Amino acid sequence: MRSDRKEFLRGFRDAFPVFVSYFAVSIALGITARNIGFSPVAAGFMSLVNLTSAGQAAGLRIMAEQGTRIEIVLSQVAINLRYMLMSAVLATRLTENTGTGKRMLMGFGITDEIFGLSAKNEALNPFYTVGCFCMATPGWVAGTVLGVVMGNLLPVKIVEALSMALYGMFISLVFSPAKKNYILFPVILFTMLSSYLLETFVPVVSFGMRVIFLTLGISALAAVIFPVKAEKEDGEGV
Amino acid sequence: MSDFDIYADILLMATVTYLIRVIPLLFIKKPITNRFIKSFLYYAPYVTLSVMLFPGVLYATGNTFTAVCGAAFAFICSFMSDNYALASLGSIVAVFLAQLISR
Repeated sequence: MRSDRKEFLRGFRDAFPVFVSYFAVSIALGITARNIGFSPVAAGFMSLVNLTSAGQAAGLRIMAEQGTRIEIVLSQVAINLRYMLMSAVLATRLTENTGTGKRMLMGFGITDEIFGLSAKNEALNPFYTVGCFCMATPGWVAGTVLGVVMGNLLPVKIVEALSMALYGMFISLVFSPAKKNYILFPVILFTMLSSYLLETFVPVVSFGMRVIFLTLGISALAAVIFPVKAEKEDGEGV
Repeated sequence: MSDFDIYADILLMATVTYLIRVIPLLFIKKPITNRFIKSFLYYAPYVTLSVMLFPGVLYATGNTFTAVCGAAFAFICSFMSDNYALASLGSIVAVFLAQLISR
């Protein structure tokens, strides 16, 4: 395993597309926060300590509707429970003797995108993940603050185009490994189809719950139908 | 809302979300040897990313045509290169170009 410093810098560099996409995505969040009366500092602070798009959007909505603190807690659990699954995956990539402090530090920044990058490492150094979120978080905070300050003055087309960054990265993270392991194609395509059908026909299932249900169900199904070979599984994580 | 309420709500959210993130990292310490669980964990990231990807990608830009153009670029790119930064930034350019011809 490379040194902590090198791994940090590698994560920092790798997360540049995340910086760009977070910046773009969080502008919309900042506009929402502005509309319910947040100051730029409060909105920036929220983004700094939460680092979760759907979670923050739900939290803001509940605050705007004068909801209770119980609702706030439940919304975060429902939407962000998927991070628990992601952390469980990443936990298995750490060496056994990784210290508690490093685990606690790394846990701060487990997001969908940072998970995607971190899971590419068969053996994960926690500082890689830390490097990722040190690059990504400033984009997230800056976009939020800009959204509050600038409101609706930003050119819509630019914000829209920047919003593609996240998805471009997801597509590459999913399909680049699939061209080396064809079994992934049916798994990916079946998942996308299921996700589409669930969203269209059972819209009561929230995004967060959809991620959890499908990840548990389809990964288990794939594990039964296409179990990975004994030595193979470690080498090719997302 | 008072400033106190706003910051209390923000910190409450942050605490809940942090606990969700950190608990598995603190409690899963042994390497996993069970083949089913290993296979499950191998597939889980792809399934998770696929759910996040679709159908959300269709609405990403507020216009299905430009979104599909961006996605198509990233898709083709991922077969030619493993560089996801290229796929990501290229898909933004693809959306820009698609905006020029669609509106």
